[in-house]
Amino acid sequence: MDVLNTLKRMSIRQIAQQALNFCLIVSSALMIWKGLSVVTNSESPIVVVLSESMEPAFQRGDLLFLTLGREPISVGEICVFKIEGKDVPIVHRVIELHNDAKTGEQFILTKGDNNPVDDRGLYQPGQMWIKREHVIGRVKGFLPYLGIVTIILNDYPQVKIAMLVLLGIMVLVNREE
Amino acid sequence: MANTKPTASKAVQDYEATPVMVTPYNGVEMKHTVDDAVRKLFTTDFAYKENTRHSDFRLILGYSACAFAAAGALYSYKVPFPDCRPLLAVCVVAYFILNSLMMFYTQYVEKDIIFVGTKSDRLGVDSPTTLTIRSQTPRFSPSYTLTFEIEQSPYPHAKTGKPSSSKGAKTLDLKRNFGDYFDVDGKFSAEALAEDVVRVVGRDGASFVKSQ
Repeated sequence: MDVLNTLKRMSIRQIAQQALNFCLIVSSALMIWKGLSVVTNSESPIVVVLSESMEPAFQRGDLLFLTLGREPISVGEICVFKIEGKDVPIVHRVIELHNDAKTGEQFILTKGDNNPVDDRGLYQPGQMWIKREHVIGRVKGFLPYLGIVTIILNDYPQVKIAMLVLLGIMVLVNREE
Repeated sequence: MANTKPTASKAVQDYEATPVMVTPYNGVEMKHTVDDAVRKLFTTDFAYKENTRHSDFRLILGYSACAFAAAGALYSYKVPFPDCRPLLAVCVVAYFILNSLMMFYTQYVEKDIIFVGTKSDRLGVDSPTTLTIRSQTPRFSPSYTLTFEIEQSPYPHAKTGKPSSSKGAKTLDLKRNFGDYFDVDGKFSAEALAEDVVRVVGRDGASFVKSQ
């Protein structure tokens, strides 16, 4: 195939350069993501809304931008949190808040706007509140519809693999200016 | 009609054995093909030894940047947020600094150089010749310009060891178009390139032998 001929003509250094170009694309994306994470102090600075539990505020496929400052969480804020033992973060609103008088620790109860009941059904069995450490960020901004791509990639993993393979081949064979 | 005159150039023979086809009118591919052929000509036929310092430096900078990226990613995977934040920040910053250095080097130091090499005198009498080749192709233009900067370093005087006369530095140009080296189907003619190059730099690739 033409691809093999192109590769055969290249010296070791040129092949190393092509591999480097590919690695740089991957690392740049990775470092931009991690950089955003560092700047916003949030483990996952951008998340996609996966369920309809926050309609009409957020639809499935919206992109949310998160930060996590040091200020205490207040009622009415929309937070993204993770329950122990569950992988998927949940985006719901804080409806009740109690502070421990001695330690100042916050006890948080959340509920999705579109859900009939609060989130106690989602917490661990016996868990009545979530704490500050479960919160990975507060919603500071959002972009509608842009997350649809992530949902498609998640629902059809073959698309993700196919895209990566294509990208890999293209970068390895095309030598840029 | 095929050229039946046997060519003494090993590089040209190589290209005739496995011809290179490019996508017609693809300027980037054509530039790379001719650049590669020039390099091959000078290393195999003119016996230049390539000095790969530009390429090596670029590769070192680039791979170090990727090493920091990989280290940062692995570290933030092992140590959860927010404990990993300080070291992760260091990795991210290091990555972007190294990446910028690499891009700066490629753009401003290496620029349009495609080959740097030295050729020692076969008899061991004269001092070696250093050669820097640059190639320029303006965007969307079929012109291809090769610039040869040839310098023969001054050789030390036999008794005093001090540098004697320098044979001097010379800059020679070769301005052509891609149409001179590629046919309509995109087949590359190494022979045409070899003829042009020999006409400019001489049969030995150092051009001091031929008188202007």
